[in-house]
Amino acid sequence: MEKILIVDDDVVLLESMSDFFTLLTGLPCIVCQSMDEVLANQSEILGGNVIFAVLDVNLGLGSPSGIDIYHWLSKHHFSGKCVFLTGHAKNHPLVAEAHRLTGIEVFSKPMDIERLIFMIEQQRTAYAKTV
Amino acid sequence: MLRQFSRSHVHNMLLSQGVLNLLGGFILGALWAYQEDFFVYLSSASAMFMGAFTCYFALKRQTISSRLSSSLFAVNLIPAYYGAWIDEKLTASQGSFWVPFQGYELCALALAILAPPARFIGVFGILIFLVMAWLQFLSFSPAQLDLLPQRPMAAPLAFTAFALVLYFFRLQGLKISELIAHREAEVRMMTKFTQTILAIKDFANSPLQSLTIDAELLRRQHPSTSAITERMQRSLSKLQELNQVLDKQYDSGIRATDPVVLDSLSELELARKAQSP
Repeated sequence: MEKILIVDDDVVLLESMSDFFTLLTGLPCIVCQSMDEVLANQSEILGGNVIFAVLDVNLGLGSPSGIDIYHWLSKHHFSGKCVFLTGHAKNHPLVAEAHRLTGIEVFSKPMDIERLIFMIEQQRTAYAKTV
Repeated sequence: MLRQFSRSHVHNMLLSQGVLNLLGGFILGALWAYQEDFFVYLSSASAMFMGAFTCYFALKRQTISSRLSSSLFAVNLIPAYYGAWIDEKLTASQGSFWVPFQGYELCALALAILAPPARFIGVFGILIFLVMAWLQFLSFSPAQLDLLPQRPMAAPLAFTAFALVLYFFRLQGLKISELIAHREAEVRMMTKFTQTILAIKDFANSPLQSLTIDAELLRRQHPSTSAITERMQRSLSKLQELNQVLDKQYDSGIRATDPVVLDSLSELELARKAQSP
């Protein structure tokens, strides 16, 4: 069954997004607060069923960022779609770096969650065609 | 009306005047000491004393108001006037040709460069040198007048006019510097304000997102709570409006070279500390 990966250091937001995505799409979510948790769940994440990844750009000062996780996913041939979420301003170095990555959308919090649901459904349809 | 100008200007002005008085008094004493004239000693000593006191005062005091500095400057002119008078009187008494009123001319130029923005001190201070030159000219004996060049008052008059123009140009430059400094302070304050807004906004974004999602979840999972969730969503819309207003404030205030808010809580704590007495 397809899954959604959500990475955010805010545990309340993490739980809210997980409940919301599961309710609207029926897909289970893998929730992680940091790069360490992503690595702890890497077999599940890279297993091939994760079709969509929502990555918070800034995961805390001094910690690996959402961009590092994206690079790690790319390096391990992650086939799902990634999007970035950020609560920071455009001139924040990480946000600026995220914008420079081609083909990746960056959404500012609070974003229109329905749009994210729409993108997940689109990706789900595309994934179904490839299987 | 006397205007405040920066500490460096005030201190430099008084220090320069102090050094000139000290030097002038010393040179006057050294040149005319052989005359063994009490008034020479008085003039030299007073100029040196005032010069030394002014230098000490300028170096010791952290803050000097414009009123105090202007008053001290005016008082310091007295030994300069007296010294110029004594020097001219003694030079005239030598019985040989001389270029008159050079001391007054030099002092007028120095005043143009150093006088505070209090215009009455600068303008009258310069004009007094011309008046004193004229009074001294009137006091010369016929023998002394014969030793003078043609049109002896022409040079003091020209120097006074030049000194006045120089003084006003200098004041204009000071005014522009003051405006620039004021504008820079405003920009710094706006940047800091924008950073604080940014920190507030950054801190609130995730909770706002969470509340938005949870309100929608509640509405979908428990339709009976729709009245409550609708109220929540209306309140959240207002918060989102505030977020957009803060975005606009940020966008209008940000520059490419502005520092970045990396940690919202630390930034807000810094802003709080800056505000506290």
